Amino acid sequence: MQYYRPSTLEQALALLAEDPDARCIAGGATLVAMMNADLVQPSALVSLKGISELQGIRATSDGLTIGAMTRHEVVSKEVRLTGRLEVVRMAAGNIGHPPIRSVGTIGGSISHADPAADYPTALVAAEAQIEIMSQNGRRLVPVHEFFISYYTTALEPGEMVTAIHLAAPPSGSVSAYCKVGRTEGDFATVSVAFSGAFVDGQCTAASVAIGGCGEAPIRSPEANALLIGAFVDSDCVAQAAEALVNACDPLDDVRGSADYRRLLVRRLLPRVFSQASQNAA
Amino acid sequence: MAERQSIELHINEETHVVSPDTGNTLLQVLRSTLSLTGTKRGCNQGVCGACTVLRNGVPARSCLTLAVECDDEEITTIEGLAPNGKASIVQQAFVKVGAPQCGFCMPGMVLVATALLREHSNPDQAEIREALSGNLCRCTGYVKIAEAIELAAEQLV
Amino acid sequence: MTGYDNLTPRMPGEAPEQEPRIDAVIGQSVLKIDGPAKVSGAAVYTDDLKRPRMLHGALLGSPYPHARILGYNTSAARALPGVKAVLTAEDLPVQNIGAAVCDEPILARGKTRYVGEPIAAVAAVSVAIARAAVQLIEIEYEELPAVFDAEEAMALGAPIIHEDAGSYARATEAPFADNMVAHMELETGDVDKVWAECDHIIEGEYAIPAIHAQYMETCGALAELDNSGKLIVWCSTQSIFLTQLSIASALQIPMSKVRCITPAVGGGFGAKFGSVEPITAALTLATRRPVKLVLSRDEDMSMMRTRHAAKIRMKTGARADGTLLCRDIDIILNGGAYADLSPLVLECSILLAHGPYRIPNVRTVGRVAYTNRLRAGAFRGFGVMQPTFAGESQLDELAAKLQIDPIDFRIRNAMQSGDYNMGSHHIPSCHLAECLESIQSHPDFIAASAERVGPTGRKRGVGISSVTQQSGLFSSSAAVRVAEDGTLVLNTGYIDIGTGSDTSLAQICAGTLGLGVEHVNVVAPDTDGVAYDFGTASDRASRGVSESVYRASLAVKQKLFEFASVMLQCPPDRLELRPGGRVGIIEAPEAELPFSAIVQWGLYAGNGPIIGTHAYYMQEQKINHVQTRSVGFRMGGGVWYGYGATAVQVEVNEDTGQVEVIAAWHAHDVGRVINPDGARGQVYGGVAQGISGALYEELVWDNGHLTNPSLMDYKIVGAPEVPHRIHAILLENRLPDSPYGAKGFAEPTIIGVAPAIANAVANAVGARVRTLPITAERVLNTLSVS
Repeated sequence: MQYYRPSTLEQALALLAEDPDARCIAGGATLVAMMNADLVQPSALVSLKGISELQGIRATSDGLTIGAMTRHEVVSKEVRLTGRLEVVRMAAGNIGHPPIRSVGTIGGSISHADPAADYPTALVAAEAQIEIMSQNGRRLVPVHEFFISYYTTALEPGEMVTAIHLAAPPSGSVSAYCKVGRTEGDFATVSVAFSGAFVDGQCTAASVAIGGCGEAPIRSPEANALLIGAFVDSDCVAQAAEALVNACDPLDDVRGSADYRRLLVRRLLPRVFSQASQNAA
Repeated sequence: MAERQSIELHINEETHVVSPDTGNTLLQVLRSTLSLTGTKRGCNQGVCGACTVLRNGVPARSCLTLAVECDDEEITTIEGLAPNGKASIVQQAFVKVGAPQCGFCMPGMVLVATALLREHSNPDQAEIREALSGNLCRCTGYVKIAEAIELAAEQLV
Repeated sequence: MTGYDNLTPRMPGEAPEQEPRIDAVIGQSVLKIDGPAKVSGAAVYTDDLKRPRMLHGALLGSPYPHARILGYNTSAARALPGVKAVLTAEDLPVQNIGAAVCDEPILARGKTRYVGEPIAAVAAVSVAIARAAVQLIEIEYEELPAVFDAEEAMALGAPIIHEDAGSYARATEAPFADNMVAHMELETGDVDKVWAECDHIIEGEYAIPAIHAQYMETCGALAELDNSGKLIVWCSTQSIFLTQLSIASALQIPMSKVRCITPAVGGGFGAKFGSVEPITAALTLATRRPVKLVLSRDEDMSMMRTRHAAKIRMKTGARADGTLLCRDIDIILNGGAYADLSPLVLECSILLAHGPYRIPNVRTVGRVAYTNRLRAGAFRGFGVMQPTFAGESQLDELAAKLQIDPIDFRIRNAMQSGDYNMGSHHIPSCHLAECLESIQSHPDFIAASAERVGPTGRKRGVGISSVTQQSGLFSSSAAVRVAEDGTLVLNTGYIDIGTGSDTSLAQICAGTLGLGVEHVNVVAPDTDGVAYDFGTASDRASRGVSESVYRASLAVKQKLFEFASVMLQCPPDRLELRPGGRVGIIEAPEAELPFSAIVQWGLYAGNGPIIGTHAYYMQEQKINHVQTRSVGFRMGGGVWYGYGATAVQVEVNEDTGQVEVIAAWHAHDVGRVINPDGARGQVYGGVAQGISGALYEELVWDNGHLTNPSLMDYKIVGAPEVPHRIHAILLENRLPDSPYGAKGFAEPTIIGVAPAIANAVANAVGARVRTLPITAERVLNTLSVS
């Protein structure tokens, strides 16, 4: 297995273009575990640790850009992630344990595309755009189109995630995030992420995503529409949960049955919605 | 076969030049190449924390870290905490309260505790539990490990 | 110098500045003798060992739960450069092993009976090559119908897992048939008649899953040949002698050609009674080179052993006045593909399924089945945890019907010193009621009982469980020798797998002879040593090994007095031991000799070296067949019954069903505490492991394939899941016949946790969960039903 440590993005993209079986290595938390278990055998590894363009969080004219190599710990402490973007910060703080958060990166995590992971759900709620680059150029993909299936993303051979773009949060917008796992640091049995806004207790914007309930984060335009205009005690909240349940396609696994997951969606959505409403007040 | 390249690892303030395969983890290099067997393999999947080392001062899973990624980095293993045979305050506290049972998780626990106390001189129980949350122990119920950290914090003041 | 002031040795023979008693070290939290090595990374475990020209081993596991082996093709594996040996059953003697039933080949022979069963082994110059070679082995199988459920396995027409079961050698007299490994019964009183007299009866079915011990160090061994051609096997085991026997027997070589040694052992919890040692030794014999074989976590979870999954049907009846009258118990254990210690586990289950109560009418029927799953074997609690979950759950349900406080109900029916256990075993010392009362009156428990909701509005509840277990099974021995400088050499063959036994046994030796633990050389377990020991099980360090150490130390004392009496020209009965390793004349402070002078006199002028030995066998009690009817039951019963009580406070999230343990109490009738810090550590660990099993742990198979063979998918508790407040209450009522009055107690601290949690959940939200683990999902499902 070849090992490359390019110092520029351009070099990295050239290496990926050359060898379609090469894999990028970011923090390594997931990739090395899979290599140890012989689940992947890349022909070459392209280390991203030397590429400064991929590091850190920058304010842009229309929001924030999180470099793909930004570690979970850094995101979990980013004070500029406010309002409807706060859900991303909350999700980062929920990933694994401190020693995982200190090495794992956002680009690595979303490229792995585990639908029970924390970031995918939060980024869908926050309506992020994923910046993807190859030697042929740069493209932006709405995050919900990025996650295609279990461990499958919209990345084409030769491409890599370079950044996550988040539109500046409208003032007064809020977030809430809730994860149910078996133990602290476990992957989600079910997670619910909410980004939106409230005025006088009434929801004026809503974007909900569910994790752990299908091949990718679950979203439902119908549920979002039902929540807009709702108060915490509105019947619409339960209807929105039902719409999300209908959009889910959970599996039975060691974390819980499909039925239990559906039940959790019904239970957690009102809780998350109410939490968001309180955060707004 | 795998490609090898020469790298420099600064381990416990000594520089080692090694030539691992790309796929070799830091854990393999520490244990097999350098005979630093204080770092343990419990799961090889990043869950148990027995393989914890300090990478540039921060606790990291050596089983999830490729050795080649550590070129020119500072690594502290459990062997590096008592360089002249005199146990550190943290190590002494672990022994004093009787924290070690089977001992297999201990190197990781002691390193995590050491890093925690460098950051927070007086952690509360919640901070201690959070710091320990990524390291599994099957013998102690974590009670005496947490006690040891409290004792070490008192003695470090 | 080392940083550990308490471990800096004082020379023996010097009078201590202040040491009032000979046995000053008993009951003291002396530092663990292996503590410094364990916190510094210096402690050596099996996988840390390296030998010159060492090869690495790897195993091929069966891909099928049940299949006939039609043929092997190992030529590709053998041809891989770096491969030095490939073994299958065809290369090994036709010989099964097995402690209770001799049913298990070290590599599958003719058939494979569970997914993961080792079927071929490779030795190669690197781990990577060995593992690559394993993948090149081709085996032709004919898949057979498989059965995974214990009851289905024992039903008519089930696929037979061991066709030759009738010809296996057995260390049990229990009836067996087809897939039934053993059937046992124990009955006292007249169960069928008494139900009519019961005012309240509770009946239920309880399910306990298979779980894995998850010792942090996976199983492994390193074998090599010494100068005489003897195998030396370093192993991570709980019994070097049983391991030595299994190696010799499997490879058909004399035990005189096998030496087993343990370096540090990274936990066992019962599940390390022999693992890959025989096959590692076979690879060494095949290559004449050292071979190390250490399992990965997923291999360990797929190839080693589980705690018995169980189905318990139980019925308990009481009078309206709160007197327990009757209990009927049916126990079905899933033994997996090989018997291992299953018959012994079943005996222990049967013996103690009635719980530590005076119940005049009890019937226990138990069966253990072969199935096409990973074998089940010993696990902390040894068969008692499963029926205790059922029994203690039922006591709370009965208490509710009787409108009695659950603790009062237990105290009212608790066994007392002088009572008789099932099988009419005499119980010299039982302080269960005191354990229960100590929790009942604990200020934190009183406060917790009154607390119905937590700060976030979630419901809280408390639950209790009584605990019993036997300790001190089988044989131990000890040899104590006085070295020339007056220090002591202690040899027992007992393995400290993390329990602190090296330290507590050193305390007993030192405390009997007036020295400090730093003067005791605790010899690492070695089958070439002088002492025999059954193994680390059933709290034998506190009850059994300790007796041998104590009596061997007394024998040393007697020799010291004998020699000193000649040297000081004074009759032995006028001599006394003095702290610091001296023998003196009573009331003559100046007339004394250090041990060093006495031993050197013996070595060079007198009567030879000073060595004390002792051999122990449990005080076996036979079943009284007049009072107790039995089928297939052999166990004399050790033995020494231990008693305790566990309580927990839980908080239940009614939205998600998640249960959090907020606080725990464990009170135990320990006899005497040898090392308080060590003892508390055992309680904390037992309670935490109990919480883990109660709430999270379960091995899940899909058509015989383990679906969660990793610590990622199989969760055990981390620090956030264990309460900060675990109260260890150690009640000292010395056991008269025991050295210093100690009883075993560390193993059973796990037993009562699951029922206490189930009772606490019921107390908090009214949901009675009868299936372990008490997952969030099960709590919600139960809530929605009730």
